[in-house]
Amino acid sequence: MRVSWNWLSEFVDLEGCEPLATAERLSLAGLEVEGIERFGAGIEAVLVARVDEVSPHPGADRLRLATVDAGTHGTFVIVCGAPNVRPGIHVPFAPVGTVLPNGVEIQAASIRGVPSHGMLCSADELGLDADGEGLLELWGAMTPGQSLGEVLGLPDWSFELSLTPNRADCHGVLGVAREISALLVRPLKRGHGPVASSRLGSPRESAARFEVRIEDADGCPRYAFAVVTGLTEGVSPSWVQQRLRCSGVRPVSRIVDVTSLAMLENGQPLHAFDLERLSGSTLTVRGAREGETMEGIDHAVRALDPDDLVIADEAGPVAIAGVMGGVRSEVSSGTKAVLIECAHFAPSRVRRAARRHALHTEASHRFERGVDPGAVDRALGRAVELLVRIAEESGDRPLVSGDWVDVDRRSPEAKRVSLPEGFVARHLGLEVGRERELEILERLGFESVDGAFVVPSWRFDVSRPIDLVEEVARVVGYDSIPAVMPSMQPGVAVRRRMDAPLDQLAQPIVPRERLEGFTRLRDSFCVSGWNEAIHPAFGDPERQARLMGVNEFLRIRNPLGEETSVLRRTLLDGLLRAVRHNQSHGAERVALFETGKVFDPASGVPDGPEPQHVAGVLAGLASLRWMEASRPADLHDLQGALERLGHAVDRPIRFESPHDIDVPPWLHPGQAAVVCAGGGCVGWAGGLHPELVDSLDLQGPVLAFEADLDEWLAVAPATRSAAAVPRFPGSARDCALLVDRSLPWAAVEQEIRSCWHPLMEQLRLFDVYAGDRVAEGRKSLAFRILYRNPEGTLLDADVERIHGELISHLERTLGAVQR
Amino acid sequence: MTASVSNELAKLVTEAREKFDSALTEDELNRVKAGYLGRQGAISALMRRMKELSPEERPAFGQRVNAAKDALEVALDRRREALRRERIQRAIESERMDVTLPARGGERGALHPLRRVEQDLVGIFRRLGYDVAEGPEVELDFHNFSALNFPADHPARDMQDTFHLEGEPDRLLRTHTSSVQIRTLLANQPPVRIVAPGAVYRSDEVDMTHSPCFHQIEGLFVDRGVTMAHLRGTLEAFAAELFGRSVGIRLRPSFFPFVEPGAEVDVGCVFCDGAGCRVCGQTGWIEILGAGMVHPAVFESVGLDPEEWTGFAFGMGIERIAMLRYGVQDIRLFYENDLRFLAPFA
Repeated sequence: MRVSWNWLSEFVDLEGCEPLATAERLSLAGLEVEGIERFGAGIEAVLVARVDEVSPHPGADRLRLATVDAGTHGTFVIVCGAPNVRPGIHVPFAPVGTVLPNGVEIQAASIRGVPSHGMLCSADELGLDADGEGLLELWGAMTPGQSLGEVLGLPDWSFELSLTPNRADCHGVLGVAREISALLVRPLKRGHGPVASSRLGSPRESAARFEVRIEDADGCPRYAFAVVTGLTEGVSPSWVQQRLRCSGVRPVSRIVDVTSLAMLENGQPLHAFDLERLSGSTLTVRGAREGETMEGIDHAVRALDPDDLVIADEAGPVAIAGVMGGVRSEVSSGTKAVLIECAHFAPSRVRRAARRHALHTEASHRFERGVDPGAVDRALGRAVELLVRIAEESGDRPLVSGDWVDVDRRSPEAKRVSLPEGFVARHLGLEVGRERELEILERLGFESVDGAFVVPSWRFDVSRPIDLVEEVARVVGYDSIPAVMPSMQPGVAVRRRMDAPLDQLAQPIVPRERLEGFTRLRDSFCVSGWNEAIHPAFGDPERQARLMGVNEFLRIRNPLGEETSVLRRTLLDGLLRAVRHNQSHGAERVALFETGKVFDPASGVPDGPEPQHVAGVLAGLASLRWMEASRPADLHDLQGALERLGHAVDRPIRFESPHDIDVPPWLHPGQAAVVCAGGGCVGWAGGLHPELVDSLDLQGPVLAFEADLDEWLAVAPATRSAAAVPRFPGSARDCALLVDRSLPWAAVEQEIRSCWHPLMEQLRLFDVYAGDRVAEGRKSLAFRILYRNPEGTLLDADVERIHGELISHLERTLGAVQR
Repeated sequence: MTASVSNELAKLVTEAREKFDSALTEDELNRVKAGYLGRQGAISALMRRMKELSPEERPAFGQRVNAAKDALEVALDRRREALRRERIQRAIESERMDVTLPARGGERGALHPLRRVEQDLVGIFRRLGYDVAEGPEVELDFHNFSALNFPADHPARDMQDTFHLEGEPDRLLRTHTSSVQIRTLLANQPPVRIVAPGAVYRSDEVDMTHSPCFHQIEGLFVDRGVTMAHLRGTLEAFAAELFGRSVGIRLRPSFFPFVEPGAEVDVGCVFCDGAGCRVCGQTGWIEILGAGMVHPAVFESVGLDPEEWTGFAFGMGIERIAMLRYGVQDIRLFYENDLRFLAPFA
């Protein structure tokens, strides 16, 4: 919201206050001033002039000669190019010698052979409105020769306030003035109370022509209106337009501008109905009826909901209360009489309607936050006063009819909040002193009655003692609170609450071991040359389905786009996108890992677990270092990184063939390995399915893995105990077996282990060969077994016998042949 | 006879010396040595001819042979040492390497910059004695809003545009990590002090400073007798740790429904030392977090007595700190995972 400094100074004494310092003080008290704009600086020498005569320029088609009257300053002939120059209008006139805000100095000059004695100005040239084209036409009461600043109420400052939702009371000049008065200890001026105007009689509950019936007093505790006739709608006086501009509002027309002014001043939205377009003689405040519609002033026709509070005449709704008026009764250029509504609507009711119809208006913004119900009469009085004044200034003879109605159904009880002694110090850690507390609260409008404070009707945000603590703290300044380090008994043990509701018992505190596991896991990847990726948890349902072979997802009701409309079930979606991104930017090696949550709709419970996964992708070169710069990364690189990871988290892994388990769709069916830790499967690793490499437009081969970290870390950590150091020498035997190329090493190893002899100590595979030197469809597996008798000298003959038996066993069971 | 044997001995010694000296490798030297000093060598053969001498001549001859043997051993050692030195010298020459070539397998990958910041922040608070807590990203309205004193139909909810789950009116993507405050207090008996890092979601339009998913870290400290002075003390210590020096902090009143009094917290601009620069918008201060005293309504919603317990809470954006610390201008870079962006964080 924008607030004019001059307007503020009508309500609070700002004599001697500096705008910038005042803005800083407001910011430090919770009314953040986001920006400050200066209006009308450098227009001191600009005068008001009346155009008396316009004649063609003898030497130029598009220029004209304007004779203007500048009162006591004289009469001047000015060469002017503006299309709207015409006799009778008042315009800003910069005499010779004036320096305009944009730095241009006006000089006596001859334009196309005709001397010009000054310049007639546009709003843009005066720095008042960047969109102001043509001469700024001045409206309202003024005399030629008068200073422009005096007419427009300039110079002025405009503060842009960024208000938090609790400070509903500062959505009007008056509220901000009250705040300044309390902060700077400055008295409020006249006119912050009720409006006393001789034009207005006393409000009544019913009137001659119109009355109001409140059917829903919860939604509308107070409804007031006044009727003014004898108007003609037209352009507002220039001072009104300028005041609106300083407040960030575009001027429209007199009646609309008056409701804006009254709202900006009091924070109370008002609505003007064209009296002649209302049907019947009763306005009803009620819930909308089933099937009712209303065309708003934005020309959209809306189906109304029974929860919408509407103002209706005899022909149906004419406004959604506190949100938007209807086009049927809208004020227009032909309006001669208005009914000005000024009411209090329940905040949550207005909010629901505004959200239902996706409308956010100046009115709904204020009503949602809470408008002072005690100031309805004041705001209405101001609106009527302004309307009459402006109409008269514009030459009308307005009449305020006797129809000034105020139906007040509020509960008379004011909120009271107590503030026990010592309460402030107990929460702030600062002794403010009882007297100071009282003084501050009273300045903010809290009246001390019988040891409690009566909350002013404009403060919707204060209902508890702690709220008063904040008021005190704001005014003394947060910077006066000392800095004290809380005492820290190290290692206060986490204690579960015995009274915790059963379904809330999930422990959010993370065990230290798990935290450190995550750190070691990431370190392990980084040491292996992998980079960490972080993606939002949004997924593309189509791509996720292709990777996972499932169609059930947690779906977002209001996604930003189809590509981000579900929650991911695999981290690979994001990682593969990153592979594509990096490859398209020429990356020769992509090694990325990510930890993050995945979301399974089948977890069922509304508060279900969110498994923490770890995944990674590897593509391109094995290393960018020169000695391996031409070797593409392969499955063994991936598996090596995973094994290091297993050791890093102290839960070593092994890889198994899938056998008859279903392989996830993202995996290459011939390069799929089950990642096992402890007794179970924790994930998958392997080549990316060539189909995906193709359709995702990747440069293959791409290797990938994904594992469930919760399951992995749930495995018991590796245990360690000392082994005896052998005292007798061992003896090694090598063996190269020719086997079927599809036979996995694990099968061979399993056979060897099945006839493991006490003298065997160690088995190590040292070569795998498939190529020219072995038969088609075969491969050679070369391994070494270390034999040792831990208790005595090993006999060669024993080793030969045992080793021979092993080989024959393998030849028999695996169809192998020793090379 | 004596003379002839003696001559032979002398000849042998001369010859052996020459052959030692002409041996070019240690292996060759060993072969030559065997020909003279071995059991089947020439000296041994000469020794066996001692029986041809008279008993009187034998001791002297024996001594001469032994002396010759010793002399040859010395010559041999000298030659061996010379050859060994030559070999090492050759090795040194032939094994010269370019030590400036890049090593094998030493490349380190990058920790994501957001993770670096998260680890640093968590580390600071763990050293201050805080536990780490975490909660789900798909939350119930209760934990994310109602229990945090955001009433239904209250404009405070507009401060955080929310993603909702389809078909489940009560479930949403958490808009802040403050939901973990509620979970922690429901499960644990105060005193508690936790920090809770994690991803949060808001349906903001994407631009240089807004992303629909970002990361926060929440802090909560509840005990008997906690005051706003303790909040200030903690945040000052935190800022000094984070920026490596005492930077000064400033608290400004602000509004978050779950704290009262509420504050926005600025640190003195580390780029201009408070003099005013482009980063701090000429103010000398940079806003980095929101904080305040735990609202009594929050204690009530988790069944704790606000007369007995008080506490403070704070929360900050990890992206915001990372952008300040690393000079990142566009928040979207964090989620693109471009290796050229990540590389400097190795």
